[in-house]
Amino acid sequence: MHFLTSLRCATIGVTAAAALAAGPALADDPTELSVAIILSAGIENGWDGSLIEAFERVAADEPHGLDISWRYSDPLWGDAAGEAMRLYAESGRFDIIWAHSTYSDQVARLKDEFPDILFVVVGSGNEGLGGNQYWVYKRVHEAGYLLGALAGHMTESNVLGAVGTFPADDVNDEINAFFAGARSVNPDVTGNTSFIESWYDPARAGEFTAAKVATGADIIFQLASNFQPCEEAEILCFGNFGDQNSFSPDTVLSSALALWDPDIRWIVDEWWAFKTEEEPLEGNTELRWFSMAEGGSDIAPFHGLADRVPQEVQAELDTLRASIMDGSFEVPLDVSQPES
Amino acid sequence: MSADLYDGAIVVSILAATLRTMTPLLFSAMGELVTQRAGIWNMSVEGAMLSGAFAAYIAIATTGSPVLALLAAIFAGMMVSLLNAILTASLKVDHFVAGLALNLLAAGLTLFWFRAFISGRGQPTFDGLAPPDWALADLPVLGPILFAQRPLTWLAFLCVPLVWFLLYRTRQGLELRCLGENPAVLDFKGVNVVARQYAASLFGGAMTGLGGGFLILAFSDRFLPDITAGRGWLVVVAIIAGGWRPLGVLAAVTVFAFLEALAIHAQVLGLGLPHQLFLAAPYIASLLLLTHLRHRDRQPALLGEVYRRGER
Repeated sequence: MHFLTSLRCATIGVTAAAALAAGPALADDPTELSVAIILSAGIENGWDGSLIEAFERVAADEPHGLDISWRYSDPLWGDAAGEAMRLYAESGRFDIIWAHSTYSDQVARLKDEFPDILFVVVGSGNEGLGGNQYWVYKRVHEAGYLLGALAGHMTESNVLGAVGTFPADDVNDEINAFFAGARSVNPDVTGNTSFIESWYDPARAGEFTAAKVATGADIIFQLASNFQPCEEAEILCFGNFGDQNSFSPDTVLSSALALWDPDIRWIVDEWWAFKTEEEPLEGNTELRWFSMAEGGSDIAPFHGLADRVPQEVQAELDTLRASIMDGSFEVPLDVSQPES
Repeated sequence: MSADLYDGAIVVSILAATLRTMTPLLFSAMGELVTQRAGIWNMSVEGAMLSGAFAAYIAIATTGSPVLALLAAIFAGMMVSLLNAILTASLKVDHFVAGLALNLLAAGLTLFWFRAFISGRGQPTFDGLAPPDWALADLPVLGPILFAQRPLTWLAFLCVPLVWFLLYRTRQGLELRCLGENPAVLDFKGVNVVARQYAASLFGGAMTGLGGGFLILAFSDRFLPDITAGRGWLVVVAIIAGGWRPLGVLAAVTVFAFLEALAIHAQVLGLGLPHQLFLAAPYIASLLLLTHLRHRDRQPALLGEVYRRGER
């Protein structure tokens, strides 16, 4: 009996020693990742809609074998967004809270209270808080430059226009690049930018577009969501953030695409490292954006308008895009407020 | 830019834009003028216009028919106004509270139904109201200003004399004005005050819904939440600034629309001033108008007052 007791104690001791030698027991790697998304304008808006599309693409790839699911809110701002984030966090159901615009003020009040949740804020106007807040930035100025080069070739009046919502660092960059691209192939190009100062006013955006047509513009970079005036004036327009051709197949030649895939993969990797390798969450305090070469942006196909683009223009555009992709040409980044 | 504000083509464009911009405001303003002259201080104009725009969008996206879309817009506007009439004329709820609540309801419901309608997919596209393609539109100067407009724009302008005639040249108009000045007189005569206020509200809602329908069918290629962007409030301001008179309201709407068109063209031409200043111009003008006209109070005496038989 004494022998059996001694044997049991020895067995327990050896097992404990072996366990201690192996370090703390590792939990099974996570198989699911749940994301709560705070939208700023609604999925029908290119900015938000392109994010959801990117989530669908990334989820289909199942990075790290994860089953990624997400839930998104209606457009929310300020305190309402903060309350929604708190509800998502307190529910305990979400690993990442992706706040898809300027929300670092709201995240600042939550991030330390929920240290195991990875918070994401997006775009200009945010503050890099670090820790468990990551700051995703989106620049589509390389795509804007390509569209500008295309517009510079295609314009007959040499007058271009851009209609934006609000001036901001990550809006100004693509508009400036659009005009820079146009002037790079056609120094005679003139034109300017108008801001409608609203997220939800296609009627006003339309009137701005019509006014630009009246001043001689024959190609418009439409960042404010309305292509009806392009149809009435029978001119070509470009869309923004998402492929807008379906809204006006006869006028939307292409669009600057915001591709969030590398941003999402980066965040998923950070979360994975935190969960499986016990890497601390060390969010960026400086801007981080993915270039066109890294898959962060591109231009949409020409769809049914492809035959409107002369072959030599298409070839030149392909060459320019290739030089951007291989790094031999760097699109100038100008974030100053465009001339208006 | 090569052009300037005095350039002939730009002046034509400004005037054409003024008429376009006026159209939804004018429909709504003439309708709500009738409602307000009947004593209902309708604050739900924004909600009715938004509901009209949404209903028109759903109808045209599903049927492709602009006529059905406009009818749907009128119906939606009438439904919002019916609710407003139930709350104010029947249940005697404070007019401001009822109107503001209906605006919130309309904003929430249209957003909810819109999301349910598109259910995560790209929203359907549609062909809206195009201007008629006829030779008159090619006339110099007058062509683009007058004849390249959609027929509903002409109808909106026609509404002004029609509403004037209704208010000032018919017995029904006299009684309607009396609703806002002294409804007890009508009550004493045996006229059903509540029923008349319902009728005036429904007319106002129909016209505002039509304005919302025009907004989306003529100006936009998509629906967006809160697409009316404060135009309903501008209508309320125009009615006050216009002294509750058809011609005065027409003048106020014209000033707002002209300033809006001017501001847009001035910004597009790059006149070197901050663009926010141009965009604020119509609203600054409305403030100035309201301040200036404050002493010329032509407001119906009992506008917004809850009428209870025997209290007055």
